Amino acid sequence: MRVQALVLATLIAGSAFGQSPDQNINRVFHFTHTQAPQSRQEILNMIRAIAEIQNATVDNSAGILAVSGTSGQIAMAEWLFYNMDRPANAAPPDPGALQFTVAGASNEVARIFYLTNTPPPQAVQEAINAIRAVIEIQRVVAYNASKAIAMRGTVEQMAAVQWLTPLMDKPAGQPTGTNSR
Amino acid sequence: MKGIAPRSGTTNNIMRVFYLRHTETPQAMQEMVNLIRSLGEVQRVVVVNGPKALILRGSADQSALVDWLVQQLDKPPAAASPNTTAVAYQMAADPYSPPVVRLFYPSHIDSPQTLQEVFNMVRAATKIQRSVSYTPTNALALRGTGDQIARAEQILQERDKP
Repeated sequence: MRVQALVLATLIAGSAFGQSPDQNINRVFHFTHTQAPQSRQEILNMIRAIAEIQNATVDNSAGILAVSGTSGQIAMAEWLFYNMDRPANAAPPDPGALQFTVAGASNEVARIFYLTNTPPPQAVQEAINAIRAVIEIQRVVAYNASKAIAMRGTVEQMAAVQWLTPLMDKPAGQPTGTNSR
Repeated sequence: MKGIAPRSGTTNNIMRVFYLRHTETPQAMQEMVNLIRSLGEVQRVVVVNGPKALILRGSADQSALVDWLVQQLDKPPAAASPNTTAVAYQMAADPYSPPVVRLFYPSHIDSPQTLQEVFNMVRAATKIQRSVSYTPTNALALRGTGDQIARAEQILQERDKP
């Protein structure tokens, strides 16, 4: 009996050690279209907040952004980086490419919205404040160079933001009436 | 576009966007937000200054009250007073919240300071907790029981004389 218990404990311990936790991966991204240090810092802040990566740095002299995290975090960082590091006059990407499903979470997504009529940066910040206050999304970050807002939340929260964003992103003096959801 | 639609299968979670037409300054818009927060007990209400959008998330009752408040408050100053002395809104039955919301437009109180003095007097005499002065249209907004509102009206009639 005692031997059986010992064997069982050994098996359990062995299987636990055998589960390799998602190991940290190091990755370096090279800035191609983003030259301004402030813009690079905004991309760094976005990756830290949305991909939840603490270990991320920018080297302006080398023009690189280095991150360290799990494979899921790195995948999200890559998605964010290449959606932000784009030519200044580039058209917004295909809307289908602007959503990223968080690894291992069925109801959590990251999403990027582009504002077209909102002059940066104060008005972009107002839009972010509205999203935080009304839809209760904590992780919302702006990239002012392309007037992009990246956020992370539930599918339902993203649907609410998708409804709200065009209603906030209107030229001054144009809107009238009310909209409901 | 008008109408109310529930959010994701619940009638207690409605989002609305109101575009203000006659409320011009950021300060006036913020006063309106403060009034809505206080009288409507609505926590999730913000204003976006560029498109002059007031964004709300709340229950159907809150949404209906805010709709009424925006219609009453978002007026040119000359249109809001003095012809209308008071307008009232009856809330849906709720044992935890005072049922009557009323806006007063005093005809002869024309300075913000005097309005504030009358406002303080009404609040002290009636013990109404939810009361806000709204300077862009020189209005007093109150929410209380029927008795409290009647007492407030009496005080205002006594004070609002040439």
